[in-house]
Amino acid sequence: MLQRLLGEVQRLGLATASSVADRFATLVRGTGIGSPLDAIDVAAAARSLLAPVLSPPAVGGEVESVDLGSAPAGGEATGSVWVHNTTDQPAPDLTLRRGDLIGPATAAIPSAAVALAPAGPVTVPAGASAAIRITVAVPPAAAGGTYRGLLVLSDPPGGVVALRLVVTTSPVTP
Amino acid sequence: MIVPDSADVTTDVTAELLRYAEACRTAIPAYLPADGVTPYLRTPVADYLARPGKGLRPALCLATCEAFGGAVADAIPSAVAIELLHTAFLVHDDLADGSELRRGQPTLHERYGAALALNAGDALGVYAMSALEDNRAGLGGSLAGQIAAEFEFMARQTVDGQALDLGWRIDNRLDIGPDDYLELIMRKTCWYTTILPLRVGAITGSRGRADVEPMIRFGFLLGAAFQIQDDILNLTASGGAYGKEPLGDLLEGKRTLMLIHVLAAMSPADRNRIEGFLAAPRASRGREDAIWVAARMEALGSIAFAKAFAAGIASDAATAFAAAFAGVGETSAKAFVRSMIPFMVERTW
Repeated sequence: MLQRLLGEVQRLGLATASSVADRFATLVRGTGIGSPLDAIDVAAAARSLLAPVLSPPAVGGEVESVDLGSAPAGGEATGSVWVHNTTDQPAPDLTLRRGDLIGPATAAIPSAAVALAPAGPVTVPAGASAAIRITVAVPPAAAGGTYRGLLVLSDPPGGVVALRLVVTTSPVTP
Repeated sequence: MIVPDSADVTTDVTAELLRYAEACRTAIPAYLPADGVTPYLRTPVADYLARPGKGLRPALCLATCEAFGGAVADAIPSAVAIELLHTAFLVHDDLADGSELRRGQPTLHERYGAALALNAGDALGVYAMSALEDNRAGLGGSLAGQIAAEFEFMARQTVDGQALDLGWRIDNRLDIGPDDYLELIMRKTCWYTTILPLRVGAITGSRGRADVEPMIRFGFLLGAAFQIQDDILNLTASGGAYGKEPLGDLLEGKRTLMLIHVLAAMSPADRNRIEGFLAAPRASRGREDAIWVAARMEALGSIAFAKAFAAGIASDAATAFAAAFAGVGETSAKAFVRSMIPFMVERTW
């Protein structure tokens, strides 16, 4: 129980810190300070962020299930998948593949409505964790009910995270 | 060119920290007035600089410069400016907070009086600008201007953060949450402690070609872990290498994660007592009450909460480091910066 609570506090810490860091990155981008002097090298740096910089190849990773909470039809639901590399080797080029979210009866939210950030491969150093942000744009015509789907970790294969989302058809009151 | 990381490149973090810090410390006297300055200024200005600090900020700047292909000497003026500004902030902070100890000795205002301490703090800021000006000769006007803009942005964040910290105490704000705390330390501490040194080091080493935006995330995670551990040490450390007044944060009414947690977790009667303690003027807050608050924090899990919160932040720092140093070849300088992640959380001084 205590371990679970501490795990929740750790997630709170990182989620809150991530929010602050992202906000300040946007703020600084607006000022123009720190902009590279050579635009060609900016592109190279951006490419390198998505390139495998660690070797040898990935040897393992673990993923969690994610409850996206509830969102109204036409609204948006967000959450994060945490990838924990519990090995002593870096795990380069990890990607998550999206599937449809299956709802009640024949209802479904197509995989195209599920956005991941970062969208490209993620490199997780040995013993580290990485967060992948999930945003589901719930179609306006989506039926109310519980939707479930899967994200599949492409490398190494077999890693799966279950998604759960409740779609409401009337505005959610706090 | 993308160069694979190598697990073979390791570093003795303490030895490297001392080496980089020493490179900066050796260069500082050239930027301080030697002759023709009254001892009423020269003596207090030199006081804190003669006390051995960790040298964390200049070390991050110098190592990052090396990692991005530059030489240590390229970033010395900026590293000196960072250290002098840091010292200026300490002098003013200690005065504003009524702190008694700094690096194991009386604070500047305790030793020389508030007026001379305040003036010495102003002077240190002026000398920092002189050091920064030296970048023009070494790096050229364009790069020097880019670095100066980084310093200007940092200084705005720092003074804004300090005002927020002081304002919360003056108004005895008790509705502060963990997100407010992180916002505060981003402005007050992280920007000048980690983010600026990393960004300026990368700009200098790459001659302005590096994308330094990812340094914000890495620097913040690193700096937040540093500050939370600093707050914890103030409650748990006892003398020795720590160098600050034990329980000083409580006596100063500083808003920390532990205070935020304990206020939420304690009984209404206990909360009333702590509210009264925080509402009292600094001089009226008794050490016995501070010891009681610290004991409640321990009993209610506030310290464990802060440690877990910091661990969560540090858990993603390695990933943020990989993004910030993507495409940078593996060197001992890069390994040193990476090694600062566990150092920030585990340090006891």
